[in-house]
Amino acid sequence: MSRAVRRADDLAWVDDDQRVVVVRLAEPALPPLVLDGTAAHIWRLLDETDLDVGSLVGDLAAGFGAAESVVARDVDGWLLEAAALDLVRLTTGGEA
Amino acid sequence: MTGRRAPVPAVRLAEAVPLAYALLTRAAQAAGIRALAIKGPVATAQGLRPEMSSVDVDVLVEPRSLPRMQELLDDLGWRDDGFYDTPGIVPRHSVTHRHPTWPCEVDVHHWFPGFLADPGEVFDVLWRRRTTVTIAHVALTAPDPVGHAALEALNHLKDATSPYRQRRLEQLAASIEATWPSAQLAELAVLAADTGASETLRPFLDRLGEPVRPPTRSSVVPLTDWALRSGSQTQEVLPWLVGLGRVPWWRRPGYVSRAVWLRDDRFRALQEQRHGSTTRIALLRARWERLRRGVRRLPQAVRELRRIRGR
Repeated sequence: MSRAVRRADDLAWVDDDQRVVVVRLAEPALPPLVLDGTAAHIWRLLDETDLDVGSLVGDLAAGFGAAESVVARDVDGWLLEAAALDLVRLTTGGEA
Repeated sequence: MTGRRAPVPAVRLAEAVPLAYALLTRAAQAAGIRALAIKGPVATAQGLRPEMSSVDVDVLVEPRSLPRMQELLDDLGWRDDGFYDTPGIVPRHSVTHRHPTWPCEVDVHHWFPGFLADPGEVFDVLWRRRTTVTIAHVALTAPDPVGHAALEALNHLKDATSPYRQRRLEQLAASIEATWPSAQLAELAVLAADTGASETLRPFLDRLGEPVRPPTRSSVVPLTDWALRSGSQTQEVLPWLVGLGRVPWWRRPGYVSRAVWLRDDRFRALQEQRHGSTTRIALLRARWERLRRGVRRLPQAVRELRRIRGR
């Protein structure tokens, strides 16, 4: 089943090419979150429209010269965590 | 391939400033508080100041909403730890809130020195002209370039004797001259007249070759106070002298003793902010230094007071 991901709404973020720091505007008392390493690379490939997770994995694997299965495992793990933190919105199949 | 995500006590200043601008301006908006993001990266985005690092976040709120804004910040962990017991020549215009895990502070302004008309009316004028500026990928409500240029110019003019401020004012004028059409310059003069800033902005309008227009609103802050504030080179001493003339005679002894020695908690906090050291010896030494500076500058402050009042 195909899955898609997009950046969540209501986020402020800065990116200095080393790391990305994000705050959630709907939860202004929560501390900022730092994304570095893979997380920052994934973040930069996302935008505010749905992106197919399979293509995201393909792009990262091609960019880093890594096996898709390895990249897919890391991306899946991070996306679930990021969704739980309201940083991204994950949808499956025909989900609205 | 690894990725890490962690809560950040150590968010860097350059990251914190734009993020806090976005977070706090939006939080105010969500709470129904009219707030404008001002100065810093907002002015840079509008071409009104060069790219430079900022150490704080500045927000201008509708004056009557200041208590609500402070309450909101407090709820979010941004505490007002400022001391407001030293006199100012012009009325106090901002409060400072700090957060234990954010490296920047936030200055909440409820008016801006140099706009001499009623602060609520000034805010309305700036609010009617508001626009949005994108900071940290978020569209924030901000003054339009005309309102913001007036505010930036006043920020420099309030320390008109400082060579640094003179340079910054000239940079601002040069940037406006190079990019603004003449109609926009005329709008600046109209805005100055509508906010009680015709006279305070006169040097800037003169520099831009724009005729000064008569004010359309009466002033609630005397122009002489602005002249004292902006023309002084002795900001550590002059406000105390001016304040001395404003307190009743029976409060003067206490006032003078406070001016000379400051309150213990106030002095300790100041030293901690500036030097991080609050040992008994360090405090005594700092007090002695402050006193020496004050005595050294007192004659100049008296001369300034006479000169500016005699204009």
